[in-house]
Amino acid sequence: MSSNITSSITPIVELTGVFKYYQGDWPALTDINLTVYQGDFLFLLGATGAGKTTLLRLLYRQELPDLGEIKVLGYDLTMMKEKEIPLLRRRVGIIFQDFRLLPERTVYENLEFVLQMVRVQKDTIPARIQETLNQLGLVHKKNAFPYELSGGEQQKVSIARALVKSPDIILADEPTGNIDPKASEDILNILKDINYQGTTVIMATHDALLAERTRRRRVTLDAGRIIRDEG
Amino acid sequence: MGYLIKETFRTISRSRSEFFLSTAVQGVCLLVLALFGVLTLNVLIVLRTAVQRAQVFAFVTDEVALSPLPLQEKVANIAGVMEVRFVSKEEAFEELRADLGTDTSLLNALGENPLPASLRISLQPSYTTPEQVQALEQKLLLLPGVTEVWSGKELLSQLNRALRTVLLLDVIVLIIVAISVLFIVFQTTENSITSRAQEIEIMELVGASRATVRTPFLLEGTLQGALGGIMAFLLLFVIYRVVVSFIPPPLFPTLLLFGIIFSLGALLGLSGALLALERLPSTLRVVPVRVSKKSRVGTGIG
Repeated sequence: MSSNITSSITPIVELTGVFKYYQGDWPALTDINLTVYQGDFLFLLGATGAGKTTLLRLLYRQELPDLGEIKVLGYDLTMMKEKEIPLLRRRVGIIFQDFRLLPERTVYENLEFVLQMVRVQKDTIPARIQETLNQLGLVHKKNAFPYELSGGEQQKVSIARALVKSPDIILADEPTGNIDPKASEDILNILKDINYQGTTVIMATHDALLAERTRRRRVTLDAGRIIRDEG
Repeated sequence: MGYLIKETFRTISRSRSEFFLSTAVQGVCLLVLALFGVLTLNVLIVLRTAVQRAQVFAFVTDEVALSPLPLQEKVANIAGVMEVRFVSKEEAFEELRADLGTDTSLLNALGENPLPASLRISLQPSYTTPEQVQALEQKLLLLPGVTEVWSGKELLSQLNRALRTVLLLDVIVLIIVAISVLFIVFQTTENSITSRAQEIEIMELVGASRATVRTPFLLEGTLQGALGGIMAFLLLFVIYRVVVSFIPPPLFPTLLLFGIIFSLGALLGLSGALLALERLPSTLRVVPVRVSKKSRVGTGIG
């Protein structure tokens, strides 16, 4: 994959005239038009309820738009069949604000679970997990359970879980929302590193200052509309 | 598949008390069914044998008794007749003597042999319904030389009624047990789904296919059903061993019974799990509220 510097012009995410309503006619997203290219690092900014999470959920097909077209990694999400959804999600890494780690499994088992679910060749699994844990500095925690880890460490495991299946794109929903400023900085640096290695990253955050410091593309949502696209 | 089997056992061990309790209840349900099955099998055999051994007696005049062969041949040609045997007055008397055993007072009181000669007619197994026996009886009465016919059709009718009742009871028990087992597995699987909601969501979000998500639940349901079946068979076998120490051994086709109870348990377990999985919340099945752009613009929202 190309690095961010030599970013290709291949669109990896395309939203055209997307509308999403909740509870009948409450507009969560209104007329969203957005293109993200391979190797981009994009911040989705906005206050709580601006539509960031809804937009991300549309990208991994947990929601469908009420109107408009969405294309991700070549898949037309509004037309795709149910059996194609796992194929899309295998190429997308998702990171949540609340980590969503499996509490009864160790760090290693949380990662192993993902690779088993996406049917990675069995004999390559230990090496892939080891490599990912190395990359995130988590090797010494591989036998720890989530409740034995700090918030920042849990979020790193969550990133490792997204990263271990070598996704083309990472969608991070407020990954720094539940952790302290120092850990937030670490998480952001990890995501930047991942992006430097060629993976497209879309990160939703309400922390505009954090986004500004990184000097990457920033798309700001307000009440479901894109009001700014800069950087 | 190996990992999915491991996952199944991980789930079971996480809620093992609930799993084994459900399995035990299921085993008891299947045991009730199995007991009824064995009982029915034996009752059916007894009843069928009794029906098949049923004979029609055609009593004949003394003239016919002197030369019974022509009548015997005529009777043998009637539809449904399997075998015709001539029993002379003397033979009938000897039979009576044998039946009475040492009690000779009745025979002494009779003096002269009062018993008539007869044709003993065995019926083909498919000709034992009361209606068919009645028809045969009428045909026999029309034959010259036949004075009286005794068919025991009332007894046959009672036996046939008993057969139908036993089979009906069996069907009712089967339905009740099947519903009970389905309900138990359904409940267990549904609880399992609820307790693993987060895991299921993560499985789907990382890209697990529908089949991958469902397989551990199906394996769990089938395993529970099969274990219930094994438990039911073992209990049944213990009951059988106890019973044979008191009464003559009933028919107990061990392998066939094991096969049926085991397969039925597994099948019902699988079906219960399939039913519960219909209620599996899935991020793969998202239905949008489709609205037209025009109507949105019309509301001023778009």
